[in-house]
Amino acid sequence: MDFTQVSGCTRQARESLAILQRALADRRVRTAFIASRPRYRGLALWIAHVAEDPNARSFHVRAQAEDWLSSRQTRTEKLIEDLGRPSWNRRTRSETTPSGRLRRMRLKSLARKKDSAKKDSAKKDSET
Amino acid sequence: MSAFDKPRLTIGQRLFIWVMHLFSKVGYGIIVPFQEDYVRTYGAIDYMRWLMEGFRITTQLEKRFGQVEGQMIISMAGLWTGCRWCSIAHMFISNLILYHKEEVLGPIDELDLPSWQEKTDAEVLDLLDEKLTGRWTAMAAVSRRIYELRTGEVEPQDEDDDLLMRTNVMWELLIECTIMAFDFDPETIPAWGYPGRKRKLRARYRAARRAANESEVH
Repeated sequence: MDFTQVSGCTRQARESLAILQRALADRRVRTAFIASRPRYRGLALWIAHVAEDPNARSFHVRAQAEDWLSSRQTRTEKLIEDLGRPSWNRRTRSETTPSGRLRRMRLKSLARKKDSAKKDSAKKDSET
Repeated sequence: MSAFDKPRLTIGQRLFIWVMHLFSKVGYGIIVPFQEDYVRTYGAIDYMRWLMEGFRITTQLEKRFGQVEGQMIISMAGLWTGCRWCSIAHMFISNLILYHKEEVLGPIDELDLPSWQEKTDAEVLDLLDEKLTGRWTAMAAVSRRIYELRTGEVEPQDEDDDLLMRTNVMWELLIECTIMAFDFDPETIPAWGYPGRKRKLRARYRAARRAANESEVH
């Protein structure tokens, strides 16, 4: 759906679009909205959310929309996959959060315990 | 909308929402009106997961770019997605932090953002360049970068790009429910963060902003 020429949308029109989108959601038809104004990308997300259509998403450009239409993931699945992309996750949790630091401390103490256990067993071996 | 009536929440879910309301009221002095929608959309556990990830990214942004700038970046992610709530709430807190620390107004008035969202992307980019000058020049480059990463014009090149891209994705995930603030009165959207609780600071900031806007007009 191309919203690039849209410059206004009444509440009634928006709700009608959501009802239409709900029908598409029931048929599991994929939808891509394109909008060149942030307000109408928001409108598209509003429609998708209200219609509970996981296969609809809004984009800036046509190429992104075409990629979306040819894929199979839902909106949330795609975002979760993108969020977990390894190259975007270079910083480890231990750098920032207290729970991460706690985890790192626990891992360190475990490693230390393992080391000392190895040393102990090596000592015993050499004694025997 | 009666055509889209939602199923009733379980007792556990209602309890979770009550705890979240309590947490946001005690921590930030506000009740976020989207908790129920989040629980329905993602479930309580995943919602907590995304919330924690959001906090984690916020911490990383503030560590890398500064507290004021970090909140500004989140606001921009909200701005491009078309979310009234996120763009205003995060720009407001960014402005409040700056005003609290330095008694200086931030470059962007959070109440201007709804009208910015009606403009084309190119016009918004021009406005950002116009507003983000002087000490904010670096932010002009960052805001353009956020946009380019969103549109796929560029691929992430370094760690900063990775962080900006994750911010874009994370807030698109969170905006799934805050998008319901589509018609909220901008002045009722609260600052989402610590100094937002300070009523006197908010009043002083709003007065200073009004005075600055009036002097700009005359």
